[in-house]
Amino acid sequence: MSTGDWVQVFETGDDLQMEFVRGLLTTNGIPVVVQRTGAKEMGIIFGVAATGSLILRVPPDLEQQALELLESGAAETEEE
Amino acid sequence: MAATNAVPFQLVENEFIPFTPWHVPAPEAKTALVTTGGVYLKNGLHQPFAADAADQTFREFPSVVEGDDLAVAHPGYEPAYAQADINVVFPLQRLHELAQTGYVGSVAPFAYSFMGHIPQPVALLSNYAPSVAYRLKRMGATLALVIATGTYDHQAGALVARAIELAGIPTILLGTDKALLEAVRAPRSVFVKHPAGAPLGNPGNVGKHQYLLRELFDAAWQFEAPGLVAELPFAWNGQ
Repeated sequence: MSTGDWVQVFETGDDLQMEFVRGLLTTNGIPVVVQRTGAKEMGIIFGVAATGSLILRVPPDLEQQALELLESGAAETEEE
Repeated sequence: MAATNAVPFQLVENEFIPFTPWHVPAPEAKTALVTTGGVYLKNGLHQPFAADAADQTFREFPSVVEGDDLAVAHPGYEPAYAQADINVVFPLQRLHELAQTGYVGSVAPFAYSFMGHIPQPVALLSNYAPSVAYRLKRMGATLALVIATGTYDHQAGALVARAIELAGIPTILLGTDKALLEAVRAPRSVFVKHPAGAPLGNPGNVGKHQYLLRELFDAAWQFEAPGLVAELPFAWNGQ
């Protein structure tokens, strides 16, 4: 399926938060595309984060699984 | 060499060549692909690379991406070959095919593209090449194939390969300019006599692409010292 049809499951302005979420999904076998809007493409991860919005997209058939993982990841973060 | 916007090409002189011993052979390796071909995702998912040669950033692709979703923006080579078959500069599909036949262990979950027409690669050296190296290390890649597409790209590709090698991942740089490959001193380089813009060879020649990659892995596996350049016996038979 074309990546143009992938659906948004997460959005943030924080590069490090996106790295965490991206890692959470990919280690569980979900392919992702990170789209940056309103700023230079692919901000620097060593040093000052770029400005702009980051949108994470996944294939539509994995949307539910991705959302469940994000929910569980958020719950774990709150417990800590 | 012509310089875009009058910015002169600066050859980064490297005395030291990083060299990570290559212990995991290709049939067992998790292989990552990095190109300098200026590849990006269409449909507004990626911003195209800037045409002024100042863009030293990179684009990230899930390895399941389809060729129809990809486009190229690169001022340093004739894009017709890549537009006809993206695998000539970004052979992700070919790597998946080799993985299916067991010649490559697996394909790393993400692939990367730079636009390698970079006359003065300061940001590439300080930020973007180490950033990709870090990502490859974190995803457990055990081998990285780096493709140089245009002329300047040989230096950009070598700098990326060196950063990846410093992160502990063996690399192979494929290029089409033997003199530049020898000058830029990548850890392991393989030269093929194909035109800039089509290092894998003729668009659509799947069998040749696969054979070239297998020969490339075999040639690079023999390297016992850094900075060597192997030559593959392939000829361009395109138009």
